[in-house]
Amino acid sequence: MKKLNRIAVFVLVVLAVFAITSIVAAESSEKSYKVALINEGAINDMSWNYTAYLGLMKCEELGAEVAYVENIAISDAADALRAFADEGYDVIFCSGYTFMDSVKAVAPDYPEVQFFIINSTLVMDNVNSIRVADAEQGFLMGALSALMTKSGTIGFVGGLNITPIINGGKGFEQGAAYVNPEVKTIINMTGSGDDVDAAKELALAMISQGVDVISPMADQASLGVMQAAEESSISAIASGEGMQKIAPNATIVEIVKDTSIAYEAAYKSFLEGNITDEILYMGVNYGVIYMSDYFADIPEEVKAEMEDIMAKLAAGEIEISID
Amino acid sequence: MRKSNSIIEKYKLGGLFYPILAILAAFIAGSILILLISTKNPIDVYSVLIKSAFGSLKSWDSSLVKAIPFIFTGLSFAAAKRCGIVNLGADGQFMIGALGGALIGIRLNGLPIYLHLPLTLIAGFLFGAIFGMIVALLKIKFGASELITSIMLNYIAANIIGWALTGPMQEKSAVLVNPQTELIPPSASIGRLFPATKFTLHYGIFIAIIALIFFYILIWRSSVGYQLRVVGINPSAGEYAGINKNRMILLSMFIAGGFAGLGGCIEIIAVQGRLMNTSFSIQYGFTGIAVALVGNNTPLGILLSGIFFGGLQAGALRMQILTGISSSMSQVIQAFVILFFTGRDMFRIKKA
Repeated sequence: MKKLNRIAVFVLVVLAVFAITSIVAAESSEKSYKVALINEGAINDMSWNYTAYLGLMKCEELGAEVAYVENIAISDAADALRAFADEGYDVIFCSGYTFMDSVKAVAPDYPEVQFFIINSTLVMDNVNSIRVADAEQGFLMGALSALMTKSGTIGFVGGLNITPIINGGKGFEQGAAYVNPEVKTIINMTGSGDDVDAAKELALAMISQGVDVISPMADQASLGVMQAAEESSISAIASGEGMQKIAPNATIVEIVKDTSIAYEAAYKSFLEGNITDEILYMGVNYGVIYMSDYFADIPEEVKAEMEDIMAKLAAGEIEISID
Repeated sequence: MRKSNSIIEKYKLGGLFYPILAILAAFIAGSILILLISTKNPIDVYSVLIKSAFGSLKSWDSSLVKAIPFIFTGLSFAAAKRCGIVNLGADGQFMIGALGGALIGIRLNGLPIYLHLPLTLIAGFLFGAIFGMIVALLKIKFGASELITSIMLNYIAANIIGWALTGPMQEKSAVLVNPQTELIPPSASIGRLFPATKFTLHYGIFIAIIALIFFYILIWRSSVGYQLRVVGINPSAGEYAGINKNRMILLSMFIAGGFAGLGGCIEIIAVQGRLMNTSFSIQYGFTGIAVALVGNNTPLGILLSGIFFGGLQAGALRMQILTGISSSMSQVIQAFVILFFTGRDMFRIKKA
């Protein structure tokens, strides 16, 4: 299985390289903006970095000339930022908070370049931060889990103990309580975003405690949770697009945090020239968080209930407390 | 090693020949891969890579900054190897040294720089050294193979870092909760040589050079170093000559761990500015093994190969940006260098 995974990853990488080279080859003659993406992880993680890549592709559809780098270490971040800025890129996206210090140091040297950081709080003349409403994703997961559970115990496996995932957990708890205060929620963090085995072990331990609907929010390690659910024949709510393929029987639905839409929205605001000096919060309202089609047979009343919750979240009628 | 009569040895080119041959072979093997996976011309890709690594003052600057940690982890491997120990744990020692530096750097904030900075560096060295000595102790007390213990300790180190960053050392004041420490205060930071410019080279380069000289004097110009080498070449002969083998193993791992730890400390207080969960995504320790191997475990060799690997690291980034060839390609080339270098016997030309 591991070997197969590796082969799959390799094939993906090869395809990605092909894709990039063909993109580079297809040069357009008209003046377009150059947009770059600096990724902390690999774009084939089917999660955070993958949707960042899709976001870049959306910018390309809007006419931008795009490029990206992946697996950038902190010690390389400043170099990567300068390299893109020196190459004349107009917009540089950073896929995570880890780049905050580097952007803070580099941005003043390139006033003509617009920087965007996802999940950060940094705002400068030419730097904006985008925050994804992770709590809403957790809320939807918690609500659906609570509606679907038979044992009355539901679980949430977080990855790194960081604000987005902590908020996801808080949302999960409140989402479950919103539909059924009786449901017991078990929330655990693995402390890692890439340790698939740890996530799987944790999920199995939670399943042995009676959890029958489980949701991961652990980047790449989410795959371990999906595997655990599949092997234990319980239900799972996937947190990223394509995860259903890992657990075809277990997956009820994918509740996707599609940051690609956040990238697209940020790029649009750049094109329109209406960037403010406020942090951009994006959730169900922007379509950054949405639900896929259901993969399992779901009672109509559950579907209706979830639709209602989605609508209320989009309208801002549900307040999730994250303090 | 089998005896051979290669032409190379006849002309006394041995020192430089194999590393350069291995590097060339690695580039050729890499070009086949580039041809297979992309439509790019390998020569263009390499010229971008080399130009980005060593083509301008700015690229030299980045390459040297990247070389500094590799020089330390290379020294770490070499210091142990000279005593016959294969230290695969420089990664972990590097991390623990970084942790020690961050701990003293942040917790003793308020001290004047002439006290604070040396203390921070000493903490980096000692943390790494003590972590390295665990390997030696396990070997001496239980006969545990250092190949296994040093590797396993890397995972322990990574978990210690993970625990520290989500527990006792996590940044307190932040709006966002992230697995990272506070910024290292200026009194514990190593400054840049040219602060107001875009050049990022820092004073750590001098510490690296001092470490290289120290390594040379210790191993080749001191009686302790002589004993250490004797144990490395032939432990039984050493014991027969009255050398305390265990003490030498302890000492060499102390120094090896210390070098790696100091490297980690400098990387944090001079380059990264704070310890983060992603601080070690470059495998400094394992690259250090390559650096030491290619540098033949000698100070000058480690300096040169450290700069070479630093250049690969720095050049890879721009290569990825300018050609679209993934920066992983430079890691593949690194791996090929090691493969061809350790398999260098196949380049030997036999006499009939």
